[in-house]
Amino acid sequence: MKTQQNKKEQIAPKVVARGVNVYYGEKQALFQVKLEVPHRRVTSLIGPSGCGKSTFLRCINRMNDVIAGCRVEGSITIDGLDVSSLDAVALRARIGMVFQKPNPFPKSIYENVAYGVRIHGLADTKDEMDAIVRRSLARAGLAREVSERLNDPAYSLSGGQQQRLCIARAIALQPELILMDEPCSSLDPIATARIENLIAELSRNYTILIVTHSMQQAARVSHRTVFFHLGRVIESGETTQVFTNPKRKQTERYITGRIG
Amino acid sequence: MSEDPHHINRTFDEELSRLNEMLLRMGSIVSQQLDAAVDAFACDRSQVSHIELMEGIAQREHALNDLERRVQDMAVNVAAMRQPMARDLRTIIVAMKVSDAFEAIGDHCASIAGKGRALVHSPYRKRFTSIEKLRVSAAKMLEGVVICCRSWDANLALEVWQNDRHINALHDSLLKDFSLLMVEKPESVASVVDFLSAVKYVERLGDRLKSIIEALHYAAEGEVFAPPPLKKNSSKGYNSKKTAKNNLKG
Ligand SMILES: Nc1ncnc2c1ncn2[C@@H]1O[C@H](COP(=O)(O)OP(=O)(O)OP(=O)(O)O)[C@@H](O)[C@H]1O
Ligand SMILES: [Mg+2]
Repeated sequence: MKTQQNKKEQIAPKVVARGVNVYYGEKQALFQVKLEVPHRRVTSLIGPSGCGKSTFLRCINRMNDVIAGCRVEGSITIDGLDVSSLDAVALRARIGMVFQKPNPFPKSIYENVAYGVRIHGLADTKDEMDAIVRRSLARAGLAREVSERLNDPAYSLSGGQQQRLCIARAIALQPELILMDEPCSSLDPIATARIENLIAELSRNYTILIVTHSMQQAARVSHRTVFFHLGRVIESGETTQVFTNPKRKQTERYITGRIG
Repeated sequence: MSEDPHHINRTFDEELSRLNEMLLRMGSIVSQQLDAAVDAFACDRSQVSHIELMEGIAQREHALNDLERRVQDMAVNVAAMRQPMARDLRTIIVAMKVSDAFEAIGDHCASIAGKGRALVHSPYRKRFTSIEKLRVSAAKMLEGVVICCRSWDANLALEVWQNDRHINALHDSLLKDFSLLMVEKPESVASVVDFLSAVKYVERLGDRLKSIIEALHYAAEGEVFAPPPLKKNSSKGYNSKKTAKNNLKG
């Protein structure tokens, strides 16, 4: 049975963006972005290269703050709190991020997952830490491949394995919100299917925002889809609607691979 | 297939237009089939020409089956290879439905012809030529359907869809006339029952044409076809927005 709490969560979105403009120096990359990311749902961001998808993700965890010359206007809230009013480190602990290119730390496989857990004081004992590391690796679909070599350097893994390690690292912190920027672009179909399965599982408890260039992937994994074009949100809606009957011509052209 | 800009991948465009060509081809065969089916009721037909007629019908039926299979194959292949989205996805699914319906209409025509042939010695043959009226209506609707298959135009589809009413009205009036005949001349029952079953096939054929229109409309608009409100202004006011509005005003 759905509880009151659940219902409330579904009504109030996890992330709300209003009037977001982003500038890199003189150049404006996002224009009046208005967007809502529902709780415990997978939302995918699609759109041509350079349309501002990554820029938007970076607004949420304030990674644009560390890019010189980058200016963000407008408001983005998580659970109703403006991200600019939150402590950036605490904010990033609540938000997991997975990038297009795997970026493991130059440490062992074990340490890659344990590091953030230790920094944020999420494990009291060695046993607890071991359990978190094992569970996270298992959920990311990597446990079996690395169980015998946890102390090997992360760089000894293949690209796809490194990506799953990065996902394990992100979910080890139990983030409420996970941002994924083309997480499967270096993965084979089996690894991709595993990640997609993981995304589906994670979405029971977490909110996920995923950037993907694969229309099929967006259709497979997400409940909602947002189409960006030239820094603007052109269309957002239920994924089934966007992919079977997009409302805007620009969306249709993009997802059907047409020009003109 | 539409006035849309072309695909970046041109071979995809070619595949879609090949699919469309097969549908148009089916439409034109079906239209020959319908003419031939009703021709079977013509009084001046000799035994020999009847055989020829039936042979032609069998050949076209075969061609329709073959085309239907090819449309299905191609649609499945294109779906697997291109993983189409939006209008492309709808187009491919609808192409399967349309080919299926054309094939079924072809079967109905063959059944109609079979009845015509069976009635060749009936003393009421002359009267049965009244099926020609029904043919005219069905052929007109079929023509509209084929044009819609070419243009995938939702507005036109809506117009053509309404044509089914004429077919139904004719069907009903034939049913009435021949029911009377059966009452008056009980010995006509066996023939009339055969004849009315042919009439029934034409009516079903109209339903199939309607389903093609609904599918084409869905492909064009992306929304399940909703029948237009009846033109008749019902005094009770249900189903008529105008009446409701006027009521509010008054
Ligand atoms: N650090 C930066 N400095 C200057 N301009 C930037 C910077 N990052 C992004 N941009 C510009 O902002 C715009 C949006 O870039 P962004 O990386 O958000 O696009 P994207 O939608 O993620 O593209 P892709 O699909 O290729 O990853 C682009 O025009 C890009 O050139
Ligand atoms: Mg990007």
